[in-house]
Amino acid sequence: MTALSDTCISVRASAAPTAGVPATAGLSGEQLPDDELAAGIVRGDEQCLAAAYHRWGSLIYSLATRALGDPAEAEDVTQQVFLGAWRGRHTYRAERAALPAWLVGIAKKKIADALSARTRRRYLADAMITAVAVPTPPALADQIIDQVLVEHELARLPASQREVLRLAFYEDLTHIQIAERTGLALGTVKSHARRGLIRLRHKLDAVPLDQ
Amino acid sequence: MTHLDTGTLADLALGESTPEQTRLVGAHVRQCGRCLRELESLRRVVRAGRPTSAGPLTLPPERIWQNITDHLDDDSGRTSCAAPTAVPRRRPRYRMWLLAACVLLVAGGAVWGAKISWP
Repeated sequence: MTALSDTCISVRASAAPTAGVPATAGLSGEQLPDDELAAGIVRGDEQCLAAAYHRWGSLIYSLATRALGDPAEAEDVTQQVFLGAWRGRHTYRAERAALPAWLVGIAKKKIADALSARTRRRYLADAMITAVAVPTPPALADQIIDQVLVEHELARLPASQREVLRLAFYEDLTHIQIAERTGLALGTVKSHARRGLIRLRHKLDAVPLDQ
Repeated sequence: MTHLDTGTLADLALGESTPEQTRLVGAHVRQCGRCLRELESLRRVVRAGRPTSAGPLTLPPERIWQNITDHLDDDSGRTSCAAPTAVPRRRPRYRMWLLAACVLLVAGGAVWGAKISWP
């Protein structure tokens, strides 16, 4: 194993002693801000990679599953994303992208590769007979990325904000209806909705779609 | 220029503004790029949060992480004298077919064009 950073050693020490399992490092890694996690990965700290997997593994896997519609391919892509991040860690530049944005960027490339390979397989036989050009697969829809990001970040909001936003988003309730449903004061509903939305907005802003 | 507070923009993005507030915000963002961008960011969240058939995120099977850790050591970064283990990239064959298709198209177009010019 590569040398562990002080950060991740101390963090790891406070976790349950089952090293190597992402949940272990993840429990501790939850405390670390994204940029420290990124710095740890760049230094070659495997525990920080484990924490990053714990934090964003389901995001990347869900992204791949929804884009590819095939769990086996999604597994493969998820694995490639984290291995790609590990092997390419020396190319990471914090000033250019936050860690989740970087991982999503790698995922977009790996998903595009998987779709290209699939399209090639499907069209190659036809192409050999009719010289039909292999069509370029569609880019991963921004909407899929955003939906997965919002779902991921909603789960990390304070419970009160999450509950209000879920009712606003999923059940399309107005603030007044949410107040009636939950028994919260209207002003409280409004403030939870605003704070939650603004927080999600900052998280999504960190993952620009045109990267 | 004074800017709108984010809470007001959040209300609008959530569809909670009165018609009068909507009109005022609309008039402002037509003049103010910064507030417009902020409003767009908030709307991006609301659009993505609206109900879809997709449901909650999927937990990845545990074997994925196991596979990742199994391959971490493939990384040759730690042994400075080792040659980089680059995977040889095959030139994708579809490019050849793409090129062939382009040539055919151009040739076809030329013939067609020639027919039109000299009927």
